[in-house]
Amino acid sequence: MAMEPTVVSGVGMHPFGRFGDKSPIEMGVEALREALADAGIAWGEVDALFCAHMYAGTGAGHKIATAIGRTGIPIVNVENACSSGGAAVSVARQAIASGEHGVVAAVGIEKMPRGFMKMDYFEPWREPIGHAVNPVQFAYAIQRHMYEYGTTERQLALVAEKNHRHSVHNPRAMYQKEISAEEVLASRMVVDPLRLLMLCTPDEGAAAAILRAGDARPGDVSVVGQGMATAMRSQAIGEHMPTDSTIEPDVPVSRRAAQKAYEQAGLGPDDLDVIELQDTDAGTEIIATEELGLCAPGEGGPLVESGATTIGGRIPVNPSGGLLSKGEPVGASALGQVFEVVTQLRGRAGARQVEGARTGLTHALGAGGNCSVIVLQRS
Amino acid sequence: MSEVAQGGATPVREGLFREDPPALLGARCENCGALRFPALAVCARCQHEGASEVALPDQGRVFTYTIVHAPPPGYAGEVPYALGVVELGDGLRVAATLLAEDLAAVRISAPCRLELFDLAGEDGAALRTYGFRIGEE
Ligand SMILES: [Zn+2]
Repeated sequence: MAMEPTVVSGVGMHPFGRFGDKSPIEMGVEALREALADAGIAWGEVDALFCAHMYAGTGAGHKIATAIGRTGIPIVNVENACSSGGAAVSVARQAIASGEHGVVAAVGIEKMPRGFMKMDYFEPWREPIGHAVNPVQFAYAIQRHMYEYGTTERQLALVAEKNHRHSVHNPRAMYQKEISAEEVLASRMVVDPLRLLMLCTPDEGAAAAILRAGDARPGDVSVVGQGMATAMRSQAIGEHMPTDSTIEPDVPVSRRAAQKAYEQAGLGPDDLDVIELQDTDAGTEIIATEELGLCAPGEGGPLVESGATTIGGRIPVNPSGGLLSKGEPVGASALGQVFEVVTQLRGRAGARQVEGARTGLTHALGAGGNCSVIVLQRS
Repeated sequence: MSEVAQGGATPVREGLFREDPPALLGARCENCGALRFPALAVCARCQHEGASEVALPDQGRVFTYTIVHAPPPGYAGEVPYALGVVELGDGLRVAATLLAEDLAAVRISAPCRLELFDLAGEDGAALRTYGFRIGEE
């Protein structure tokens, strides 16, 4: 379905990391205030607020409004696991496209417990038998990929090495130091073949975007396409964490979401200059580069090995350092990707700038088997 | 978890499997024949309500797997342990624990056979669950 582009008039981001007793609401307020200042508008000009989160409890967005000012606007909290921010952007965009609102804010916040995520997504009986572990799905996916295409552990380590190299220039990342492929390969095994340094860390943070109706002026960055999709029963592996699946042809969820986003934007993967994608783990990055159409199926390993996805390469992936460096505060992570791509497209990314970037994409995958892909472009 | 299974162990969930001979219990849609596991009255393909219980094939091949090295929250067993997706002969794949004396034997495409086994549950009560034991090619 065609939809008018929506201008992203401001972005803000509270750093991702660990912040002691600081609440996710406080972080959200900071990210939102930065986005408002960036857009050059007052809070009183915002017509609606969409708040993405998974752990922040009842009325998280409403608590942000309590802190920043109760202007009486509609507030909707959005939960779509690791893809919550993508869902918030989707509803924010539709609220503008429908004509109901002229200026809306999307904010994503999170403060997560440490270690393996204990997820109430799983039916309780799967927990005692050790089946309630979401990184297992990432391990399944890349294990199968290695079997089918010969993808190597070294290629997985190179994803982590690359993203950590990028993170050195991102003051808002949780980890900002280089980590070599050798260090990655020496870290402890968690879910075979994924080692500790191939998996992102749950953490804390917030990010926000202001969207507005109306034409884009030169230099403005707009959302020109978005696709959301969910995994089907024929997808054997994924964050729908299936107990069963059917053996029949399947188009995985990321590929379908990307197709919708490209169609809506009227462009394709060859038009992209910069990408922030769901590197929950190194394997998911390799597979996502294929499913987003950056390379052919099976070529994701050679793609990272070639240096194409490094800043300065053919199609830089995760110039922010990705989730491997920033950590993954699930409600905030997808809006964190929007923050990075908008920053890149405006040419304000400093030492991690992708030169001349005009068109970019964000990709988030979450529990429930849901995916959001957003295409952004500078006018 | 009311019914006590053979040997005093409690099944981790009622209706997942039968004991003798061991089999996973799925549902076959009475309208379109689609299978699902665990059983549910509504069909996931045609949404028909009405399914009959069916014993799933007890043999299959490993479609994919992993070895879990860190204990997840609430897990009653020991680490490391193997999990996988097993492709059964009738158009269905199921997620399952994979069993092997040596976990290095767990490989994609390896043949495997259903086996019920027990984990030590809370307060010492054994918890019966299902897995597929890796066999010889
Ligand atoms: Zn049916």
